[in-house]
Amino acid sequence: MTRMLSVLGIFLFALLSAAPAARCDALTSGRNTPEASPTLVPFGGGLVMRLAAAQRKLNDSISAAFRDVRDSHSRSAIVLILGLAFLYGVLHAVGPGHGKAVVAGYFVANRARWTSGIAMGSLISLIQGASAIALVGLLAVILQWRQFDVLDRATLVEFVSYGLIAVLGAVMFYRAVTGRGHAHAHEGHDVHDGHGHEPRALDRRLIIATGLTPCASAIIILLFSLANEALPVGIAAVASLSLGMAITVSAVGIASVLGRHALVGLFGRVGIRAHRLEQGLAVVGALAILSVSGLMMMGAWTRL
Amino acid sequence: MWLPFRFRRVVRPALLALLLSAGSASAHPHVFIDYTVTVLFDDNAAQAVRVSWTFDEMYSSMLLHDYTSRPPRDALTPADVKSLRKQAFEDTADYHYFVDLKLNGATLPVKEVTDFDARFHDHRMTYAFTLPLRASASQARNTLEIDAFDNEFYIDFELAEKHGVMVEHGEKLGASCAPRQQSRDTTMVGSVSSIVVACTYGAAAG
Repeated sequence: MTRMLSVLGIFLFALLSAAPAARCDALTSGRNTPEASPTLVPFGGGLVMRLAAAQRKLNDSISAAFRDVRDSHSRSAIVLILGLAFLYGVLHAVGPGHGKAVVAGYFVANRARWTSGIAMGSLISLIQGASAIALVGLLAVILQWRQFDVLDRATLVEFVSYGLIAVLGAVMFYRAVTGRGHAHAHEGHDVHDGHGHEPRALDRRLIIATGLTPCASAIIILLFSLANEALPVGIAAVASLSLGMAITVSAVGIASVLGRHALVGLFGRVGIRAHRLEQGLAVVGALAILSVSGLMMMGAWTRL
Repeated sequence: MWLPFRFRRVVRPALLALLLSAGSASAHPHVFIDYTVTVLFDDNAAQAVRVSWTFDEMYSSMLLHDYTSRPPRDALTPADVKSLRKQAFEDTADYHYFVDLKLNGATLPVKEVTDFDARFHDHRMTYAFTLPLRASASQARNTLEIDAFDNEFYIDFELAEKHGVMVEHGEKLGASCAPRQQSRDTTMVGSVSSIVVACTYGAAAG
């Protein structure tokens, strides 16, 4: 609990540590790309453009529906917004980011049931949505900051979030290499049973650290709803968006759980001892979390 | 630390590649722009390129909220336009206004912008600005390529469906401009298919 409070403390400090920057760079703020990182291609350029085109259409439709809500308090427009935001979330989270690397790394490192993949993916996405709501609520609604300043400040929160993930990744790495605190060593139940009954302390911390990163799209939707005097609808839309993202991030979790399972089976057949393989996977998973969060931290640093 | 031989050589790099691809920083668009390109000719050569950006509604709303006087939805005042230019446009000079220009294959510097204007219409903000062309082409047949693109893919640029490409005063040089597909590299999502506007025109007679 003390640790949770200190995390929350760091979060609030990061949020409010400085007055909004005087420099306003509308089109260059909130950029999510570290200059130094290599080209990382999850899929072909054609799919990227199709995804972008779909998001453009959804963005247009959501905007128009918000105007309907503002002008005529249309209920069907609210339902439409929730549906479109859900779809937007599914597509948007396919793009890089949103904690997928943490989820993938975690489930490569640790034996788990596929349901744990869903639980972790969903929790991260939902906390990310809540983080965006908290950020906009505090900075835009209560403190009345300018909208671009709110978006800018999200970068700082992102930086802190990646920093926390990197620390947790380093702890995971240290434990994996030294064999200390091995994933199942201090758990009461049978190793072969898998786990997922009770998230361990590290899981919880990892989930919260990853969830802190607010999604820029969620913030933009909230700010738009605020400008259209429909903040409650905006909050509901972000909840729906987060559910959509949860689908995608959970899918990555499930794929990692199953991938690990298949890998262990494969190596078991060629006669590699299970605990060696487990250790190797724990190292790989931790390294992935560490390196990706490090990259993201550098990226956020260049934008601070 | 001990790792099986095969693991080190094959599986680890493969896994890392997979994880990195899943976790690279967000490179999906958060801003959507419809752009138009107008190429202005004088009697001798292409003289300037006028570009317009129409932002998506959400981004337009943010610009309106932060940089213009209230109440919104009226015509922007000259003070609004100035505020937008200073606070929400000039910094894009660092990105050379997201426009790449090539004349006969050689890159032209994009440094200067004139005639910045902004208007708000139909819930959307539109910026318009002119990029003067300094180099004069003297070949018998010239090709000017205009490419609006954000290689970080934070902004998704799309050529406007209506009046996306326009030519002014190009008859004398037999100018014709048309969009065509090309492949562009991005920093995060590899190469994507994008549009370049290509103009061909002749040299001035005499």
